[in-house]
Amino acid sequence: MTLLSRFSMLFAAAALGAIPSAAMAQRELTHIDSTFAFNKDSWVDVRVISGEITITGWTRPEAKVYATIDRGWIDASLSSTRIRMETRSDRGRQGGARYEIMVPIGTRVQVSSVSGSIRITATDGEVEAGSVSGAIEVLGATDRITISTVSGRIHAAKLRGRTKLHTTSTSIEAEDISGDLSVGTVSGHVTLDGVKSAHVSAGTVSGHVNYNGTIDPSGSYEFSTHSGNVHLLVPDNVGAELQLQTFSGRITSAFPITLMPGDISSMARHNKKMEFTIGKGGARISANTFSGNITLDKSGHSNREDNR
Amino acid sequence: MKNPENEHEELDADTRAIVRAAAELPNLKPTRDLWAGIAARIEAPVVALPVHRERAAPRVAPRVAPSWRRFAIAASLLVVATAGITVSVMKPSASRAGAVASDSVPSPSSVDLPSFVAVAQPVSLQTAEQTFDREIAAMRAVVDARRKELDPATVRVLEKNLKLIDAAISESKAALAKDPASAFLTELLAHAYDTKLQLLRGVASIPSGI
Repeated sequence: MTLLSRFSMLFAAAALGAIPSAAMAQRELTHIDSTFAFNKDSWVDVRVISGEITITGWTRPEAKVYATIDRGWIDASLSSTRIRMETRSDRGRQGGARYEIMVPIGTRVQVSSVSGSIRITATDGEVEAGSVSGAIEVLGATDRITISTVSGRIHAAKLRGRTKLHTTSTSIEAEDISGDLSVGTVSGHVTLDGVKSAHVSAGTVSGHVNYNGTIDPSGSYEFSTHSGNVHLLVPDNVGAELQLQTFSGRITSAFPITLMPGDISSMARHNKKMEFTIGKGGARISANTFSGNITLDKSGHSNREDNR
Repeated sequence: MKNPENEHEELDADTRAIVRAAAELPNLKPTRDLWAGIAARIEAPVVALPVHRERAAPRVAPRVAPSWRRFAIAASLLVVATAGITVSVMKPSASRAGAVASDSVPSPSSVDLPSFVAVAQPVSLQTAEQTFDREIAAMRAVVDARRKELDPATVRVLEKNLKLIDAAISESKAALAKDPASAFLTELLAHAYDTKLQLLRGVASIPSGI
Protein backbone atom coordinates (compact mmCIF):
# COMPACT_ATOMS: atom_id res chain seq x y z
CA MET A 1 0.00 0.00 0.00
CA THR A 2 1.37 3.40 -0.92
CA LEU A 3 1.95 6.15 1.58
CA LEU A 4 -0.66 8.26 -0.14
CA SER A 5 -3.25 5.51 0.11
CA ARG A 6 -2.50 5.06 3.79
CA PHE A 7 -2.80 8.79 4.22
CA SER A 8 -6.11 8.81 2.43
CA MET A 9 -7.44 6.12 4.67
CA LEU A 10 -6.15 7.79 7.79
CA PHE A 11 -7.60 11.08 6.68
CA ALA A 12 -10.89 9.48 5.86
CA ALA A 13 -11.01 7.63 9.13
CA ALA A 14 -10.19 10.81 11.02
CA ALA A 15 -12.80 12.78 9.19
CA LEU A 16 -15.46 10.18 9.55
CA GLY A 17 -16.44 10.47 13.12
CA ALA A 18 -19.21 7.99 12.58
CA ILE A 19 -16.80 5.32 11.49
CA PRO A 20 -15.43 3.15 14.28
CA SER A 21 -11.74 2.84 14.90
CA ALA A 22 -11.74 -0.41 12.94
CA ALA A 23 -12.29 1.78 9.88
CA MET A 24 -8.53 2.00 9.65
CA ALA A 25 -8.67 -1.42 8.06
CA GLN A 26 -9.08 -1.49 4.33
CA ARG A 27 -12.30 -3.45 4.30
CA GLU A 28 -14.00 -0.91 6.52
CA LEU A 29 -13.84 1.65 3.73
CA THR A 30 -16.27 -0.32 1.71
CA HIS A 31 -18.87 1.71 3.51
CA ILE A 32 -18.90 5.42 4.36
CA ASP A 33 -21.73 7.27 6.04
CA SER A 34 -20.77 10.65 7.40
CA THR A 35 -21.91 14.24 7.72
CA PHE A 36 -19.38 17.02 8.31
CA ALA A 37 -18.87 20.76 7.92
CA PHE A 38 -18.18 21.71 4.31
CA ASN A 39 -17.50 25.09 2.73
CA LYS A 40 -19.69 25.95 -0.21
CA ASP A 41 -16.79 27.18 -2.32
CA SER A 42 -15.04 23.85 -1.99
CA TRP A 43 -14.98 20.96 -4.39
CA VAL A 44 -15.93 17.37 -4.90
CA ASP A 45 -13.76 15.02 -6.94
CA VAL A 46 -15.17 11.51 -7.15
CA ARG A 47 -14.75 8.54 -9.46
CA VAL A 48 -16.20 5.09 -9.87
CA ILE A 49 -15.76 2.31 -12.39
CA SER A 50 -19.32 1.03 -12.28
CA GLY A 51 -22.33 1.83 -10.18
CA GLU A 52 -23.95 5.14 -9.49
CA ILE A 53 -22.97 8.63 -8.38
CA THR A 54 -25.57 11.06 -7.11
CA ILE A 55 -24.56 14.54 -6.01
CA THR A 56 -27.18 16.99 -4.82
CA GLY A 57 -26.90 20.56 -3.64
CA TRP A 58 -28.55 21.73 -0.47
CA THR A 59 -28.60 24.88 1.63
CA ARG A 60 -26.79 23.48 4.66
CA PRO A 61 -23.13 24.38 5.25
CA GLU A 62 -22.17 20.75 5.50
CA ALA A 63 -21.68 17.67 3.37
CA LYS A 64 -23.25 14.30 3.75
CA VAL A 65 -21.48 11.36 2.18
CA TYR A 66 -22.88 7.90 1.83
CA ALA A 67 -20.84 5.44 -0.16
CA THR A 68 -20.75 1.69 -0.61
CA ILE A 69 -18.97 -0.71 -2.90
CA ASP A 70 -19.82 -4.32 -3.60
CA ARG A 71 -16.25 -5.50 -4.04
CA GLY A 72 -13.04 -3.56 -3.62
CA TRP A 73 -12.70 -0.49 -1.47
CA ILE A 74 -13.08 3.22 -1.53
CA ASP A 75 -10.03 5.44 -1.32
CA ALA A 76 -11.54 8.49 0.33
CA SER A 77 -10.23 11.82 1.47
CA LEU A 78 -12.79 14.00 3.17
CA SER A 79 -12.29 17.45 4.63
CA SER A 80 -14.14 20.72 5.00
CA THR A 81 -12.78 21.94 1.66
CA ARG A 82 -12.61 18.80 -0.43
CA ILE A 83 -14.29 15.47 -0.93
CA ARG A 84 -12.27 13.01 -2.92
CA MET A 85 -13.31 9.43 -3.43
CA GLU A 86 -12.05 6.82 -5.83
CA THR A 87 -12.73 3.11 -6.03
CA ARG A 88 -9.95 0.55 -5.84
CA SER A 89 -10.03 -3.07 -6.83
CA ASP A 90 -9.65 -6.02 -4.53
CA ARG A 91 -7.27 -8.53 -6.07
CA GLY A 92 -7.99 -7.17 -9.49
CA ARG A 93 -11.74 -7.18 -9.13
CA GLN A 94 -14.10 -4.39 -8.37
CA GLY A 95 -17.84 -4.31 -7.86
CA GLY A 96 -20.34 -1.57 -8.39
CA ALA A 97 -20.10 1.45 -6.13
CA ARG A 98 -22.80 3.78 -5.00
CA TYR A 99 -22.09 7.34 -3.91
CA GLU A 100 -24.75 9.64 -2.56
CA ILE A 101 -23.33 13.04 -1.72
CA MET A 102 -25.07 16.17 -0.48
CA VAL A 103 -23.07 19.39 -0.69
CA PRO A 104 -23.73 23.10 -0.19
CA ILE A 105 -25.01 24.94 -3.23
CA GLY A 106 -22.09 26.40 -5.15
CA THR A 107 -19.77 23.47 -4.67
CA ARG A 108 -17.54 22.70 -7.60
CA VAL A 109 -18.00 19.15 -8.84
CA GLN A 110 -15.61 16.96 -10.79
CA VAL A 111 -16.86 13.45 -11.38
CA SER A 112 -16.09 10.55 -13.67
CA SER A 113 -17.07 6.95 -14.22
CA VAL A 114 -16.49 4.14 -16.63
CA SER A 115 -19.93 2.55 -16.78
CA GLY A 116 -21.52 4.11 -13.77
CA SER A 117 -24.33 6.59 -14.11
CA ILE A 118 -23.89 10.14 -12.85
CA ARG A 119 -26.59 12.47 -11.63
CA ILE A 120 -25.80 15.96 -10.39
CA THR A 121 -28.67 18.08 -9.18
CA ALA A 122 -28.92 21.65 -7.93
CA THR A 123 -25.27 22.10 -7.06
CA ASP A 124 -25.34 25.41 -8.96
CA GLY A 125 -21.58 25.46 -9.31
CA GLU A 126 -18.97 24.42 -11.83
CA VAL A 127 -19.37 20.87 -13.10
CA GLU A 128 -17.03 18.62 -15.01
CA ALA A 129 -18.53 15.19 -15.60
CA GLY A 130 -17.25 12.40 -17.81
CA SER A 131 -18.13 8.80 -18.42
CA VAL A 132 -17.33 6.15 -20.96
CA SER A 133 -20.67 4.37 -21.11
CA GLY A 134 -22.59 5.68 -18.15
CA ALA A 135 -25.47 8.12 -18.56
CA ILE A 136 -24.94 11.62 -17.21
CA GLU A 137 -27.63 13.98 -16.03
CA VAL A 138 -26.85 17.46 -14.75
CA LEU A 139 -29.70 19.62 -13.53
CA GLY A 140 -28.74 23.02 -12.19
CA ALA A 141 -25.13 24.11 -12.63
CA THR A 142 -23.33 27.36 -13.35
CA ASP A 143 -20.06 28.83 -14.52
CA ARG A 144 -18.22 26.25 -16.59
CA ILE A 145 -20.05 23.03 -17.32
CA THR A 146 -18.38 20.25 -19.27
CA ILE A 147 -20.07 16.92 -19.82
CA SER A 148 -18.63 14.21 -22.03
CA THR A 149 -19.20 10.53 -22.69
CA VAL A 150 -18.34 7.94 -25.29
CA SER A 151 -21.65 6.10 -25.32
CA GLY A 152 -23.49 7.38 -22.30
CA ARG A 153 -26.59 9.45 -22.81
CA ILE A 154 -26.38 13.12 -21.78
CA HIS A 155 -29.24 15.10 -20.32
CA ALA A 156 -28.67 18.61 -19.03
CA ALA A 157 -31.04 21.30 -17.81
CA LYS A 158 -30.97 24.61 -15.97
CA LEU A 159 -27.39 25.40 -16.86
CA ARG A 160 -26.05 28.95 -16.62
CA GLY A 161 -22.59 29.52 -17.99
CA ARG A 162 -20.28 28.16 -20.63
CA THR A 163 -21.53 24.70 -21.43
CA LYS A 164 -19.85 21.97 -23.45
CA LEU A 165 -21.70 18.72 -24.08
CA HIS A 166 -19.98 16.04 -26.10
CA THR A 167 -20.55 12.38 -26.74
CA THR A 168 -19.72 9.90 -29.45
CA SER A 169 -22.63 7.62 -30.06
CA THR A 170 -25.65 8.70 -28.12
CA SER A 171 -28.07 11.55 -27.99
CA ILE A 172 -27.74 14.81 -26.16
CA GLU A 173 -30.75 16.55 -24.67
CA ALA A 174 -30.43 19.97 -23.10
CA GLU A 175 -33.09 22.35 -21.96
CA ASP A 176 -33.28 25.68 -20.21
CA ILE A 177 -29.70 26.66 -21.03
CA SER A 178 -28.19 30.15 -20.75
CA GLY A 179 -24.69 31.13 -21.81
CA ASP A 180 -22.41 29.91 -24.55
CA LEU A 181 -23.27 26.40 -25.63
CA SER A 182 -21.19 23.89 -27.58
CA VAL A 183 -22.71 20.50 -28.36
CA GLY A 184 -21.29 17.66 -30.42
CA THR A 185 -21.88 14.00 -31.12
CA VAL A 186 -21.02 11.63 -33.93
CA SER A 187 -24.00 9.33 -34.26
CA GLY A 188 -26.49 10.72 -31.79
CA HIS A 189 -29.22 13.30 -32.02
CA VAL A 190 -28.96 16.75 -30.50
CA THR A 191 -32.08 18.26 -28.95
CA LEU A 192 -31.80 21.75 -27.52
CA ASP A 193 -34.90 23.23 -25.97
CA GLY A 194 -35.45 26.53 -24.21
CA VAL A 195 -32.01 27.87 -25.05
CA LYS A 196 -31.18 31.50 -24.26
CA SER A 197 -27.64 31.82 -25.49
CA ALA A 198 -25.80 34.28 -27.63
CA HIS A 199 -23.43 31.70 -29.00
CA VAL A 200 -24.53 28.20 -29.90
CA SER A 201 -22.64 25.57 -31.83
CA ALA A 202 -24.19 22.14 -32.37
CA GLY A 203 -23.04 19.38 -34.65
CA THR A 204 -23.46 15.71 -35.36
CA VAL A 205 -22.48 13.43 -38.19
CA SER A 206 -25.44 11.12 -38.64
CA GLY A 207 -27.92 12.41 -36.09
CA HIS A 208 -30.47 15.20 -36.24
CA VAL A 209 -30.17 18.62 -34.66
CA ASN A 210 -33.23 20.26 -33.15
CA TYR A 211 -32.95 23.80 -31.78
CA ASN A 212 -35.66 25.68 -29.97
CA GLY A 213 -34.55 28.91 -28.39
CA THR A 214 -34.15 32.62 -28.52
CA ILE A 215 -31.88 34.45 -30.91
CA ASP A 216 -29.67 37.18 -29.48
CA PRO A 217 -29.38 40.11 -31.93
CA SER A 218 -25.60 40.02 -31.62
CA GLY A 219 -25.33 36.28 -31.34
CA SER A 220 -23.99 33.55 -33.60
CA TYR A 221 -25.58 30.17 -34.11
CA GLU A 222 -23.99 27.33 -36.03
CA PHE A 223 -25.58 23.98 -36.73
CA SER A 224 -24.15 21.17 -38.79
CA THR A 225 -24.78 17.56 -39.65
CA HIS A 226 -23.66 15.26 -42.38
CA SER A 227 -26.73 13.15 -42.99
CA GLY A 228 -29.13 14.25 -40.27
CA ASN A 229 -31.77 16.93 -40.48
CA VAL A 230 -31.50 20.37 -38.92
CA HIS A 231 -34.63 21.88 -37.46
CA LEU A 232 -34.55 25.41 -36.09
CA LEU A 233 -37.46 26.81 -34.12
CA VAL A 234 -36.98 30.52 -33.47
CA PRO A 235 -39.24 33.40 -32.40
CA ASP A 236 -41.26 34.89 -35.22
CA ASN A 237 -39.95 38.39 -34.48
CA VAL A 238 -36.33 37.33 -34.81
CA GLY A 239 -33.82 39.46 -36.67
CA ALA A 240 -31.06 37.47 -38.26
CA GLU A 241 -28.91 36.86 -41.27
CA LEU A 242 -29.15 33.27 -42.29
CA GLN A 243 -26.99 31.00 -44.34
CA LEU A 244 -28.59 27.63 -44.96
CA GLN A 245 -26.89 25.09 -47.16
CA THR A 246 -27.39 21.43 -48.02
CA PHE A 247 -25.79 19.40 -50.74
CA SER A 248 -28.59 16.96 -51.43
CA GLY A 249 -31.31 17.70 -48.90
CA ARG A 250 -34.15 20.20 -48.83
CA ILE A 251 -34.45 23.67 -47.34
CA THR A 252 -37.78 24.80 -45.93
CA SER A 253 -38.53 28.10 -44.22
CA ALA A 254 -41.65 29.26 -42.43
CA PHE A 255 -40.34 32.81 -42.71
CA PRO A 256 -41.04 34.74 -45.86
CA ILE A 257 -37.81 35.07 -47.72
CA THR A 258 -37.17 38.30 -49.51
CA LEU A 259 -33.96 38.12 -51.41
CA MET A 260 -32.13 41.39 -51.53
CA PRO A 261 -29.54 42.29 -54.12
CA GLY A 262 -26.52 40.29 -53.15
CA ASP A 263 -28.48 37.62 -51.34
CA ILE A 264 -27.82 34.17 -52.63
CA SER A 265 -30.39 31.57 -53.48
CA SER A 266 -29.46 28.44 -55.31
CA MET A 267 -31.99 25.67 -55.29
CA ALA A 268 -30.31 23.43 -57.79
CA ARG A 269 -30.64 19.69 -57.41
CA HIS A 270 -27.31 19.64 -55.67
CA ASN A 271 -25.79 22.21 -53.41
CA LYS A 272 -28.86 24.15 -52.36
CA LYS A 273 -27.92 27.36 -50.63
CA MET A 274 -29.87 30.25 -49.23
CA GLU A 275 -28.49 33.40 -47.72
CA PHE A 276 -31.11 35.86 -46.63
CA THR A 277 -32.15 38.24 -43.90
CA ILE A 278 -35.22 38.06 -41.72
CA GLY A 279 -36.47 40.93 -39.63
CA LYS A 280 -33.87 43.58 -39.11
CA GLY A 281 -31.00 41.15 -39.30
CA GLY A 282 -28.34 41.15 -36.63
CA ALA A 283 -27.74 37.61 -35.42
CA ARG A 284 -25.88 35.20 -37.64
CA ILE A 285 -27.42 31.79 -38.10
CA SER A 286 -25.85 29.10 -40.23
CA ALA A 287 -26.97 25.55 -40.84
CA ASN A 288 -24.97 23.18 -43.01
CA THR A 289 -25.64 19.58 -43.90
CA PHE A 290 -24.51 17.27 -46.63
CA SER A 291 -27.63 15.21 -47.19
CA GLY A 292 -29.99 16.28 -44.45
CA ASN A 293 -32.93 18.63 -44.69
CA ILE A 294 -32.98 22.06 -43.11
CA THR A 295 -36.21 23.43 -41.69
CA LEU A 296 -36.64 26.91 -40.26
CA ASP A 297 -39.80 27.30 -38.20
CA LYS A 298 -41.40 29.98 -36.07
CA SER A 299 -41.94 29.28 -32.40
CA GLY A 300 -45.51 28.18 -31.88
CA HIS A 301 -45.98 27.46 -35.55
CA SER A 302 -43.94 24.34 -35.91
CA ASN A 303 -44.38 22.26 -39.02
CA ARG A 304 -41.26 20.34 -38.41
CA GLU A 305 -40.55 16.80 -39.34
CA ASP A 306 -40.28 14.59 -36.34
CA ASN A 307 -36.54 14.39 -35.88
CA ARG A 308 -36.63 12.77 -32.51
CA MET B 1 -13.16 11.84 21.20
CA LYS B 2 -9.94 13.18 19.80
CA ASN B 3 -8.74 16.65 20.50
CA PRO B 4 -9.03 18.70 17.27
CA GLU B 5 -5.60 20.21 17.90
CA ASN B 6 -4.05 16.76 18.17
CA GLU B 7 -5.83 15.74 15.00
CA HIS B 8 -4.46 18.78 13.25
CA GLU B 9 -0.94 17.99 14.42
CA GLU B 10 -1.29 14.41 13.24
CA LEU B 11 -2.48 15.54 9.84
CA ASP B 12 0.30 18.07 9.67
CA ALA B 13 2.82 15.38 10.48
CA ASP B 14 1.32 13.09 7.85
CA THR B 15 1.45 15.86 5.28
CA ARG B 16 5.11 16.54 6.02
CA ALA B 17 5.83 12.82 5.76
CA ILE B 18 4.15 12.72 2.38
CA VAL B 19 6.14 15.67 1.12
CA ARG B 20 9.36 14.04 2.31
CA ALA B 21 8.42 10.72 0.76
CA ALA B 22 7.37 12.36 -2.49
CA ALA B 23 10.71 14.10 -2.77
CA GLU B 24 12.45 10.74 -2.55
CA LEU B 25 10.25 9.04 -5.13
CA PRO B 26 11.95 8.07 -8.37
CA ASN B 27 10.66 9.42 -11.65
CA LEU B 28 7.79 7.23 -12.74
CA LYS B 29 7.96 5.81 -16.20
CA PRO B 30 5.01 4.18 -17.95
CA THR B 31 5.34 0.47 -18.46
CA ARG B 32 4.54 0.91 -22.13
CA ASP B 33 5.90 3.62 -24.32
CA LEU B 34 2.53 4.96 -25.39
CA TRP B 35 2.18 8.27 -23.67
CA ALA B 36 4.81 10.04 -25.74
CA GLY B 37 2.87 9.21 -28.86
CA ILE B 38 -0.43 10.19 -27.31
CA ALA B 39 0.85 13.48 -25.97
CA ALA B 40 2.52 14.39 -29.21
CA ARG B 41 -0.58 13.68 -31.22
CA ILE B 42 -3.03 15.23 -28.84
CA GLU B 43 -1.13 18.48 -29.13
CA ALA B 44 -0.74 18.14 -32.87
CA PRO B 45 -1.39 21.34 -34.77
CA VAL B 46 -4.84 21.89 -36.14
CA VAL B 47 -4.88 21.70 -39.87
CA ALA B 48 -7.44 23.76 -41.68
CA LEU B 49 -8.35 22.69 -45.13
CA PRO B 50 -8.08 25.56 -47.56
CA VAL B 51 -11.47 27.05 -48.12
CA HIS B 52 -12.26 28.53 -51.47
CA ARG B 53 -14.34 31.51 -50.55
CA GLU B 54 -17.20 31.80 -52.92
CA ARG B 55 -17.49 35.43 -53.71
CA ALA B 56 -20.86 36.79 -52.87
CA ALA B 57 -22.22 39.21 -55.36
CA PRO B 58 -21.97 42.80 -54.22
CA ARG B 59 -25.15 44.29 -52.86
CA VAL B 60 -25.65 46.56 -55.77
CA ALA B 61 -27.91 46.32 -58.74
CA PRO B 62 -26.38 43.88 -61.18
CA ARG B 63 -25.06 45.25 -64.42
CA VAL B 64 -25.42 43.26 -67.54
CA ALA B 65 -22.15 42.96 -69.34
CA PRO B 66 -22.13 43.73 -73.02
CA SER B 67 -22.48 40.64 -75.09
CA TRP B 68 -18.97 40.94 -76.51
CA ARG B 69 -17.56 41.02 -73.04
CA ARG B 70 -19.46 37.91 -72.12
CA PHE B 71 -18.13 36.22 -75.19
CA ALA B 72 -14.63 37.28 -74.29
CA ILE B 73 -15.07 36.01 -70.78
CA ALA B 74 -16.47 32.75 -72.05
CA ALA B 75 -13.58 32.41 -74.48
CA SER B 76 -11.03 33.15 -71.84
CA LEU B 77 -12.67 30.56 -69.62
CA LEU B 78 -12.37 28.01 -72.35
CA VAL B 79 -8.72 28.90 -72.78
CA VAL B 80 -8.19 28.58 -69.07
CA ALA B 81 -10.13 25.35 -69.06
CA THR B 82 -8.12 23.91 -71.87
CA ALA B 83 -4.89 25.09 -70.37
CA GLY B 84 -5.91 23.70 -67.02
CA ILE B 85 -6.72 20.32 -68.44
CA THR B 86 -3.57 20.30 -70.54
CA VAL B 87 -1.37 21.23 -67.67
CA SER B 88 -3.05 18.66 -65.46
CA VAL B 89 -2.64 15.91 -67.98
CA MET B 90 0.73 16.79 -69.43
CA LYS B 91 2.47 18.30 -66.46
CA PRO B 92 0.81 17.13 -63.31
CA SER B 93 3.70 18.26 -61.15
CA ALA B 94 3.67 21.73 -62.67
CA SER B 95 -0.06 21.90 -62.19
CA ARG B 96 0.31 21.05 -58.55
CA ALA B 97 3.05 23.58 -58.12
CA GLY B 98 0.88 26.23 -59.65
CA ALA B 99 -1.96 25.32 -57.41
CA VAL B 100 0.11 26.06 -54.35
CA ALA B 101 0.39 29.66 -55.38
CA SER B 102 -3.35 29.95 -55.72
CA ASP B 103 -3.98 28.47 -52.35
CA SER B 104 -7.38 29.38 -50.93
CA VAL B 105 -7.79 32.31 -53.27
CA PRO B 106 -9.40 30.98 -56.39
CA SER B 107 -8.76 32.54 -59.69
CA PRO B 108 -11.68 34.57 -60.94
CA SER B 109 -12.61 31.77 -63.25
CA SER B 110 -12.30 28.90 -60.85
CA VAL B 111 -15.62 29.43 -59.14
CA ASP B 112 -17.66 29.61 -62.28
CA LEU B 113 -15.85 27.11 -64.40
CA PRO B 114 -17.56 23.86 -65.26
CA SER B 115 -16.56 21.06 -62.96
CA PHE B 116 -14.39 19.36 -65.58
CA VAL B 117 -12.03 22.31 -65.60
CA ALA B 118 -10.58 21.73 -62.21
CA VAL B 119 -9.78 18.08 -62.53
CA ALA B 120 -6.68 18.47 -60.40
CA GLN B 121 -7.25 19.20 -56.75
CA PRO B 122 -5.16 22.03 -55.41
CA VAL B 123 -2.05 20.72 -53.84
CA SER B 124 -2.74 22.66 -50.69
CA LEU B 125 -5.95 20.71 -50.25
CA GLN B 126 -4.11 17.50 -50.93
CA THR B 127 -1.41 18.48 -48.50
CA ALA B 128 -3.99 19.27 -45.86
CA GLU B 129 -5.67 15.94 -46.44
CA GLN B 130 -2.34 14.18 -46.25
CA THR B 131 -1.61 15.92 -42.98
CA PHE B 132 -4.97 14.87 -41.61
CA ASP B 133 -4.42 11.33 -42.86
CA ARG B 134 -1.00 11.23 -41.27
CA GLU B 135 -2.30 12.49 -37.94
CA ILE B 136 -5.25 10.15 -38.03
CA ALA B 137 -3.03 7.19 -38.87
CA ALA B 138 -0.71 8.02 -36.01
CA MET B 139 -3.58 8.38 -33.55
CA ARG B 140 -5.15 5.22 -34.93
CA ALA B 141 -1.89 3.39 -34.22
CA VAL B 142 -2.02 4.59 -30.63
CA VAL B 143 -5.61 3.40 -30.29
CA ASP B 144 -4.80 0.06 -31.92
CA ALA B 145 -1.89 -0.42 -29.56
CA ARG B 146 -4.27 0.18 -26.66
CA ARG B 147 -7.04 -1.96 -28.07
CA LYS B 148 -6.56 -4.77 -25.56
CA GLU B 149 -6.70 -2.31 -22.70
CA LEU B 150 -10.04 -0.94 -23.80
CA ASP B 151 -13.41 -2.43 -23.07
CA PRO B 152 -14.70 -4.35 -26.13
CA ALA B 153 -17.92 -2.33 -26.01
CA THR B 154 -15.91 0.89 -26.22
CA VAL B 155 -13.97 -0.48 -29.18
CA ARG B 156 -17.22 -1.44 -30.91
CA VAL B 157 -18.58 2.08 -30.40
CA LEU B 158 -15.35 3.51 -31.77
CA GLU B 159 -15.39 1.32 -34.87
CA LYS B 160 -19.04 1.97 -35.57
CA ASN B 161 -18.59 5.72 -35.38
CA LEU B 162 -15.35 5.69 -37.36
CA LYS B 163 -17.25 3.95 -40.15
CA LEU B 164 -19.88 6.68 -40.06
CA ILE B 165 -17.23 9.37 -40.28
CA ASP B 166 -15.37 7.55 -43.03
CA ALA B 167 -18.59 7.36 -45.00
CA ALA B 168 -19.07 11.11 -44.49
CA ILE B 169 -15.50 11.73 -45.67
CA SER B 170 -16.03 9.56 -48.75
CA GLU B 171 -19.27 11.32 -49.64
CA SER B 172 -17.73 14.73 -49.18
CA LYS B 173 -14.71 13.77 -51.27
CA ALA B 174 -16.85 12.40 -54.06
CA ALA B 175 -18.91 15.56 -54.15
CA LEU B 176 -15.82 17.73 -53.93
CA ALA B 177 -14.27 15.89 -56.86
CA LYS B 178 -17.19 17.10 -58.96
CA ASP B 179 -17.10 20.61 -57.55
CA PRO B 180 -13.55 21.30 -56.36
CA ALA B 181 -14.17 24.99 -55.81
CA SER B 182 -16.95 24.46 -53.30
CA ALA B 183 -16.13 26.11 -50.00
CA PHE B 184 -19.14 24.38 -48.52
CA LEU B 185 -17.95 20.88 -49.42
CA THR B 186 -14.41 21.69 -48.36
CA GLU B 187 -15.68 22.78 -44.99
CA LEU B 188 -17.77 19.64 -44.63
CA LEU B 189 -14.75 17.52 -45.48
CA ALA B 190 -12.57 19.42 -43.04
CA HIS B 191 -15.20 19.01 -40.36
CA ALA B 192 -15.45 15.27 -40.97
CA TYR B 193 -11.67 14.89 -40.79
CA ASP B 194 -11.56 16.91 -37.61
CA THR B 195 -14.37 14.87 -36.06
CA LYS B 196 -12.49 11.67 -36.82
CA LEU B 197 -9.30 13.02 -35.33
CA GLN B 198 -11.09 14.24 -32.21
CA LEU B 199 -12.80 10.89 -31.75
CA LEU B 200 -9.52 9.00 -31.97
CA ARG B 201 -7.86 11.47 -29.62
CA GLY B 202 -10.69 11.04 -27.15
CA VAL B 203 -10.44 7.25 -27.18
CA ALA B 204 -6.65 7.37 -27.00
CA SER B 205 -6.98 9.47 -23.86
CA ILE B 206 -9.24 7.04 -22.01
CA PRO B 207 -7.42 5.66 -18.99
CA SER B 208 -6.24 2.06 -19.15
CA GLY B 209 -8.55 -0.76 -18.24
CA ILE B 210 -11.67 0.94 -19.53
